[in-house]
Amino acid sequence: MARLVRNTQPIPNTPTALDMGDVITPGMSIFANMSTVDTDIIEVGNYTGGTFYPLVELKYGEQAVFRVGISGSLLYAQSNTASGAILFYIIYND
Amino acid sequence: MSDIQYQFQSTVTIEGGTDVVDAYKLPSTSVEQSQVGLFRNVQAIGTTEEGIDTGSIGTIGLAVFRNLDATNYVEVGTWETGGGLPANSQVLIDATGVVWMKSVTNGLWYQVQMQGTDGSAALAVGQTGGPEPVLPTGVFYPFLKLKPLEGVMCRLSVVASSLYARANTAQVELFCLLYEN
Repeated sequence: MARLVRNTQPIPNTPTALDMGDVITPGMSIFANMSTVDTDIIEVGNYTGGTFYPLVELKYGEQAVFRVGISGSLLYAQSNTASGAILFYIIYND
Repeated sequence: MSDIQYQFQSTVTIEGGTDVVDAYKLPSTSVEQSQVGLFRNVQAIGTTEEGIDTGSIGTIGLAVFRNLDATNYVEVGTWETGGGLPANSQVLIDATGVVWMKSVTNGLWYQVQMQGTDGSAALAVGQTGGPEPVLPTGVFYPFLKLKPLEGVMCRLSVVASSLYARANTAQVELFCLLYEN
């Protein structure tokens, strides 16, 4: 069982699944907006039925710490620019 | 304008067959509010999704949540009004779990149910014509999960009226600290 994943991933301005490696069920997580432009914003949320329902927003340089409460296949992010980037550190749900 | 300074340091220990100890330290960040304001509250959250009281907050920015219950977890997410039905839907499940189909001939909704024990049985119309089905008032899309006594910090990307929570198994007390954006 994969226990954690740490990744930096480009996030465009369309809903994008996060590459969590072998972590299927995410738990406590840290997310950071790694964009280099101070107007870039990244949203993280629930992608269900072809619609993205964002809940968390990361402004330029910001981080967030929370437990993800959904399946990894529904965990998506979207930037307000084509060249966003997110760092995430996800621990499997214990 | 005001600045909020916050700093987290996270050290994670995972217990299991093969122990992994890892750490990731978040740098401190200065956050500037476009409007001064905060709302701090402890709210009882039941097992049916309900709106989180956001006080006089206009646009939610940073948020801190803590599940004060020692036994049950609670989920926080968004509420989408309208049941998530696509436009021109011809089938729905109402708030009581009954399946309805909309006639392409007269535009009325009809209750339907499968009768018999195999796929050869035809769908039976349970009710002809009205009354109109009671549509679900909305759908809860959970995202955050707070296990017993856990706390989280994040900036929210949701309008105040769509911020909802739902407890698992039994009512919990949820601590909320919300800052204006």
